[in-house]
Amino acid sequence: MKKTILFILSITVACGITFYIKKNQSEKFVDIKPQWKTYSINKEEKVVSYNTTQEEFQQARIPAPPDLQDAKKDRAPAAINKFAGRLIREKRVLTGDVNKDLEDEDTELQMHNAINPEWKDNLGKNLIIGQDENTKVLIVEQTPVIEVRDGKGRYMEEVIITFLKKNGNRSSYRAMVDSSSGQILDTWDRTINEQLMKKRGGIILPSNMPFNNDSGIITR
Amino acid sequence: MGKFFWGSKFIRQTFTLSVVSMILVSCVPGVGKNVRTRVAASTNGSSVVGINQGRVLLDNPIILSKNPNLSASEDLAKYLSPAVLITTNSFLEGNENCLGPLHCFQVSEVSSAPSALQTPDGKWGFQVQTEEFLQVNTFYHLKKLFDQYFENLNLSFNMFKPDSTSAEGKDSALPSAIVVGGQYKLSNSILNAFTNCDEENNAYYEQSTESLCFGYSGTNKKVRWAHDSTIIYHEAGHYFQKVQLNMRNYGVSDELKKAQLGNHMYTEAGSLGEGLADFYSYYVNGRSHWGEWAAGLVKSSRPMSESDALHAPGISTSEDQRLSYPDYLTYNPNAASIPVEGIHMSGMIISHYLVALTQDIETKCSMANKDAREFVMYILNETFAELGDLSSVGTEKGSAGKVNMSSALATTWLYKNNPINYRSFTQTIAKNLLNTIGNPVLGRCNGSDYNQDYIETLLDSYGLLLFKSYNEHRNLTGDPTYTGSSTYKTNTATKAINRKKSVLISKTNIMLDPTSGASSAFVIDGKKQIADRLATMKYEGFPLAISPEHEGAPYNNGNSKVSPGEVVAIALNLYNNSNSTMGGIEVLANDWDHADVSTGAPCIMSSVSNATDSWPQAAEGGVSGGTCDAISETTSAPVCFVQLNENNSTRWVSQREFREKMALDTNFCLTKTPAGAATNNDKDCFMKAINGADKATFSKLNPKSNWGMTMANPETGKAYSYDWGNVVMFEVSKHIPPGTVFDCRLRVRFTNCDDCFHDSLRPNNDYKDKDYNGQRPFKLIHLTIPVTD
Repeated sequence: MKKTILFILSITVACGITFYIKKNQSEKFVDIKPQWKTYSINKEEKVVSYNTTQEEFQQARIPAPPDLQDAKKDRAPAAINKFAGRLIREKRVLTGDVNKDLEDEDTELQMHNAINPEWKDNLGKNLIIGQDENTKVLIVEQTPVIEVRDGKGRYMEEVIITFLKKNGNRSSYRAMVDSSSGQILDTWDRTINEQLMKKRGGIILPSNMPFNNDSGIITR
Repeated sequence: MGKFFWGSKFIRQTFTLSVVSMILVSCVPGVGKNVRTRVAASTNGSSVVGINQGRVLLDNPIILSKNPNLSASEDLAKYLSPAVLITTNSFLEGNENCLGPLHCFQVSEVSSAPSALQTPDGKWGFQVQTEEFLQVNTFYHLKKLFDQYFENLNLSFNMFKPDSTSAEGKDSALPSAIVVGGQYKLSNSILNAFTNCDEENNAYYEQSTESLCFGYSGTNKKVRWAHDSTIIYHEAGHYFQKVQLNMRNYGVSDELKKAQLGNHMYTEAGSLGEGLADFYSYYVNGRSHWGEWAAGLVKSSRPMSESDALHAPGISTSEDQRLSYPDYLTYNPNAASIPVEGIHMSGMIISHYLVALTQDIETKCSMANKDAREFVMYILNETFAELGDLSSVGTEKGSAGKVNMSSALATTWLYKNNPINYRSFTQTIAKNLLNTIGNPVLGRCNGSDYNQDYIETLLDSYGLLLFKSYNEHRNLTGDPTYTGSSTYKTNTATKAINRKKSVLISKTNIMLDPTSGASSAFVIDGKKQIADRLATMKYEGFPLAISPEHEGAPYNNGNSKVSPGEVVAIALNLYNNSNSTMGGIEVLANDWDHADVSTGAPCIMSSVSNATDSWPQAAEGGVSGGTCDAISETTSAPVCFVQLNENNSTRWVSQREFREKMALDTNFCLTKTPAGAATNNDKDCFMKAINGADKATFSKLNPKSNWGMTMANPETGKAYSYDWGNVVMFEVSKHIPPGTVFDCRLRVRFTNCDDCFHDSLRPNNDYKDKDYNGQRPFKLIHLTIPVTD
């Protein structure tokens, strides 16, 4: 009888610990819903957006998400928990001057900005404006972030941005974007091209050097 | 029953025997598959290789054929290797040393492929002209590099890295925390290699999605870059540079952002990145030439040693004929007489130095060449890990603020205020050599040491002994006047006697062209030209932040003057007034600490110790004392001040003060103030250097020359036009009254500058990072810009 009670007690404690751990973990996941979206300018010169198509993924050389792959393409890459060990608050990764206390949402954290649900569209519009006809901008969310500096937080979104040009040229990079305005704050992971025989940007000047300065600029 | 049992046993035994025999036979190559037969065969189907095997091009076709003029239409099947092990996996997935992903890399034809290439029959033999062959060939060489690199990491962590707890107590940048159970936490993603990319004369490394893509040469789509192993090593070398540079950026609070070398413009960091990627080819194959096949067909291959026949006469491995800095920054071995400003060319100095270093260690330490290559790769691991640390700690014994200023400001310092250049990179290499193979206590150079003279003599032969101390302690270096501190740290000094070829020039020698009649600067304000550039900056990933009303440069009038509402590019006509060549010239237009914090008034910089700019005088609005007397790392002001004309005086004031005098609403400023913000964003209300275009770089300036003279084609006497990396860009408010005058205080420096890096107040020591937010490491150049309608 004693053994039975001990057994039941042990099982109960073990289940309790497991439940606590699971519950704790489930509260600290990062809420990430990556959705590739394409932005372009239509014939009426309006910015349009839609979910990125299979053809655009191919042009951009981006492996399509599983739901866009053929049924036979059932060998998806292994999932990687890239947020393991990170501090999480409001289902976002904490970066900057952070400490464990900030995970507790009862710990006050003043914010510089608020999350605007339209941030991604604002970003897409900003990037596509001024581009050549038929240029497309593809954007996907990567990590929702709260960056803490000097005791104040800022909501940010890490994204991947890929440009597709009509002539087949392409460029891609990661960016940190303000969750309110959609403005790019920082970029990294830009594509490195070899591009042999590349021509220089070539700024057209009215005359060859030495310059004739008609700008009125005076230097000391 | 018994008969049945016997029969059953017989059948079972026969079946088992057959299966075992089949397995064994399949593992043993048949008569027709012996080495000789395979070499002679010009095919590479599955019938000529064993299980898990394939035939590949062990080097590029030029080397294998021993024919430098090999035709692009040559049948490459003639140069296939005997059957070699490709992988025991069913898919082209390789190396399991990366913690997180199941494997480190995989190879497929295109990104839309459902997976890495899968073997149909357990073999990897494919005809050389097939897409499958290219994937197998690429996989073979990537696997070779990955296996070698991770073996090197094992050596680096377990053998080469100094034991920080030992008596000699040397420091290391390699973070022990990334080693977990024999695996390395270096990347969260699998590297994808795509072998069939429709890219003319191009291959690329796309960091955002971790992929390599290999195109074709010239207009011949049959000449594929994935046929050339040196190209594969080079592209993967960019991937490994990212790994090395960010070794200390995993597991820290800012790990999302990654350091990288350079951008789309000309920078010395970008040059180093290309030269080092070439070195990866040498690292694997021990051969000091890159791209003979894929790049060579379009006359763009690159040597990595002065002994290479491609070099121009006068270049050799003699100490005085090395490919030295900065003279050879614009040298193209394929067209030696015509200067070219490009990172692939300027990167050759570092690739040549690293190959020479390998060979020097090999000779002086009686080391096998392969071992010397592994040791140099270890030194690169150390060097990159320290320089790329965005947490600012730098080394295992370091602490916050040792390198790259601080975690909050690291990217600004890494890309603008104190970026990686030829000086900082080779200084860190030298420090790491001195700490390890240069340490006599360790006896790692055949029982002795690769001593300080060896280190400095070789660097000097490349013109790269540009530092007076090894700067071991960086920002944690003690101040010599503060000797009472227990944390006082001194750096090892270099020996002046070893500096024979390297030239250090005073910053006073960089100036605007003093030639009579020469222009000082040039304004580019064509509407289409600027609009296209703004679009390209977004495309290339510069963090462009301009006002929505300036998108498309609608107010630009193309009159080569600065007008209200325009977005303009300004090219300085810089001049080298010294008798030696200057390298790595940079013009900075980003914010810096040169204004009084409370009033925003311009500081008279000469009030700061050892600073020289006396502008403006007190009567003209200049202030001294208070916050002007000390440099802060966090306080910065826009480069441009405005002239304010009042009844009885004319003063230079901040743009904020000018706005207040104009009583202009902050909503009309270039940067909008968000609702509810505590302070107004009006510090650059009227004229703002554009983020991403606030720094201009020039490869070099010849003695007594401007850039046009330096880059002139000797046959035509003309230089090609400026590139966008040579200009800084400003946004001008449409609300600024015509006739208003701005003074923009730009900062200029160059890599082989004596007083841009050495702090005369702290002899032989480098400036601390904080100082790069001030004036002392720079020459100031004023642009006085009238705004005209």
